[in-house]
Amino acid sequence: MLLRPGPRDLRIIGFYLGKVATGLSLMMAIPALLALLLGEWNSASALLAGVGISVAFGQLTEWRLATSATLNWAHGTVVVALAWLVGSVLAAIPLYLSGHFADFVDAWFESMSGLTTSGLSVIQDLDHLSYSMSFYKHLTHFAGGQGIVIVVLAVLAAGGGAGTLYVAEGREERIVPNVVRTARFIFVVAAAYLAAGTITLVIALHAAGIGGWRGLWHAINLFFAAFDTGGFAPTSQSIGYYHSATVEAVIVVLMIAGTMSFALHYQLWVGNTRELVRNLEVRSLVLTTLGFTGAALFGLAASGAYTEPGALFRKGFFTMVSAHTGTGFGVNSGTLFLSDWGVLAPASVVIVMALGGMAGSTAGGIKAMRIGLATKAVIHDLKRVLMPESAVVVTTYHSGRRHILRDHTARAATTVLLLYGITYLAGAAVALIYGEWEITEALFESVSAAANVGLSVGIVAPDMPVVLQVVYIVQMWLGRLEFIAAFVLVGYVAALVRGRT
Amino acid sequence: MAPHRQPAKRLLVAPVLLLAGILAVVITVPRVTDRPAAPLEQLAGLPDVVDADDRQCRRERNGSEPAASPMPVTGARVTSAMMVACPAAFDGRRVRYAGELVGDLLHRDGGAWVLVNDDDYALRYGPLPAHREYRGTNSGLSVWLPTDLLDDITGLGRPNQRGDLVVLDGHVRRTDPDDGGGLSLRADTLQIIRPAQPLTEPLDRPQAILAAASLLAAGVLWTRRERASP
Repeated sequence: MLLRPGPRDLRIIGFYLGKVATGLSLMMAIPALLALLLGEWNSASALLAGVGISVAFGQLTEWRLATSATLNWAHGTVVVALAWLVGSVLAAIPLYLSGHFADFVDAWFESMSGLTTSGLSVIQDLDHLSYSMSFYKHLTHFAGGQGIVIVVLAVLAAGGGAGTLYVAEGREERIVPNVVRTARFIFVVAAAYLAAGTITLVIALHAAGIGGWRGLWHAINLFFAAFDTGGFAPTSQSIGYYHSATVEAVIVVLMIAGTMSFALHYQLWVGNTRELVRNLEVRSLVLTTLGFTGAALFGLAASGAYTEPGALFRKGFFTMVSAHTGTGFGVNSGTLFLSDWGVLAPASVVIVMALGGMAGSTAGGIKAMRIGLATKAVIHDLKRVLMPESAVVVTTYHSGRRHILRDHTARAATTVLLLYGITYLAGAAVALIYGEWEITEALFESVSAAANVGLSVGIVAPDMPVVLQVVYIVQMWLGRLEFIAAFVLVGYVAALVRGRT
Repeated sequence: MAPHRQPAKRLLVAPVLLLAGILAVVITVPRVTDRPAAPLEQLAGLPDVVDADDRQCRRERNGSEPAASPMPVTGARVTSAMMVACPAAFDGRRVRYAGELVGDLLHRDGGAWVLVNDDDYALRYGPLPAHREYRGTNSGLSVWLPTDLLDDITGLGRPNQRGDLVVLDGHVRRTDPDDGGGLSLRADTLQIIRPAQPLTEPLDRPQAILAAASLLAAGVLWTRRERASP
């Protein structure tokens, strides 16, 4: 029996949603300062309008819905699901006002893509976008990648409800026992990578021919997009713009670091390097990367697209890492996937996009942990069939410590795996209804959206059908939340309508 | 409906209406901004695009070999969209290409890489956000310019500048070994048909008023919320 939520429940949800809206304003305030410094007045007013509206919305809800009640699990989950929707709408305001989007849905698509670290883009004339607005676009990756909720925790110290919000956002592991300390650890890791990654990129970009402050600007933006597995880039040619193997190599390292779970970062931080060898997710990710990259390179060689082995490896390997980590950087036009890459290579790209990176990271997709668990569950069942009935079959896996594979763990992994599969196919089916694209293109784009990757073969464009655009927005949202929070929100709405008091 | 349901209903409807109202205002602001409709530019010296029959990519979707006809320089130009859609058909061909130099000159031994956009913002209407003619995403091609062609360049397209508009002749490389396998144009001639121009954007007054009003509202509400806090 569904119980209808009462005014008290709605107050709690609205109050915490207000905190998230206020927290979001910081994400707009930093580039607004940059705009003022550079004299980009219209970008400054667009960003300041976003700041003002977000703070006003947040403060109004906090004021009118003030409560000292703490969140329960359902409240927290609904807050998170709504935070991504409301947050992306607020984040779209400066983008829309920038004058580079034909309508608000385009701007909303871009902000949802940024916050969910997808990287699909419908921005028009990116190559003349102001420096501050471009920085803002990339900053959405950082804010979303580290988690809007985490940002609020760190900046506004949400207090008692923090743990509930944290779990609901699809970050199941608390790295250290206290959730606020976990959030701070994540920021320490991100800050350390920001410093090291940006300096390395500045050097690599200088060698590639971009020096001075423009080198620094490119480096910071690229860092946000790479480490948060986002995929936005400062120019329309993505990483192909730099014509530099060194830049690509640095970005590969950052993408891999970004797709590693923060729990794994913590293990490495405390010196437990053996975790790299024993961890189920690492093993799963390495195996799928090697297997499907091998297939992609074979496919590329067979297609005849690249006659030079070095070129074949450079394009193929970078694209596969970009797809598997959920980043979505490109080193060639997406159209080439269809026109010049044959069949096997693009198919491998789609598969690794669908598989995704590690759980508890900024990557999307099914996740290496679930792939590993599902595989182990299948092997476990096979063993049970093949061994004598009296035999006790115990399957274990390593993730921080040794775990026994329980039925409910395996079921949870395969359920989410199935949900991702359905979402991938549903998005492709909607695109196919339009009759403009083939199944390969429709599936490529749908997987890219739902797995929060960002590679595109050209369906995602400013002139795409608005219904399909909204479908991709929903897919990006679902993929980021890993379904559960979204389902709880739907259940909550159903309870409001049909529940009993 | 029971009386105690009324507050819940208000709590549901009020934030939605608030957000809808905010969006209505935001969406209205660019509509009242005085951004001119961009006139179609007539660029002297810009070659026509090659005839459709010549540009057609005849490669089948199943991966069979391309069978495009030879494409000598005839005075007409090809576009980046044609080359990306059909790279094998253009491989090794000499072509004419036109566009805006954008971003950075990435200097290497013997020359520099540069991005040359040939989209409508480059060749027909000028950069956003100075006008309302939305023509899609950027499209362009990586071009290698030997050192002797670099001296003529006056500026590159950036947020505050429209770059040189150029006409280039050169050879297409489907997988340039000097670029790690990228699709590129190796130019050997460069003609500037319009030098770089600074972009000046007038202050958007309605947007500035929206920013000021929303910041004022935020300050007032922040104060009220602070005062109301126990």
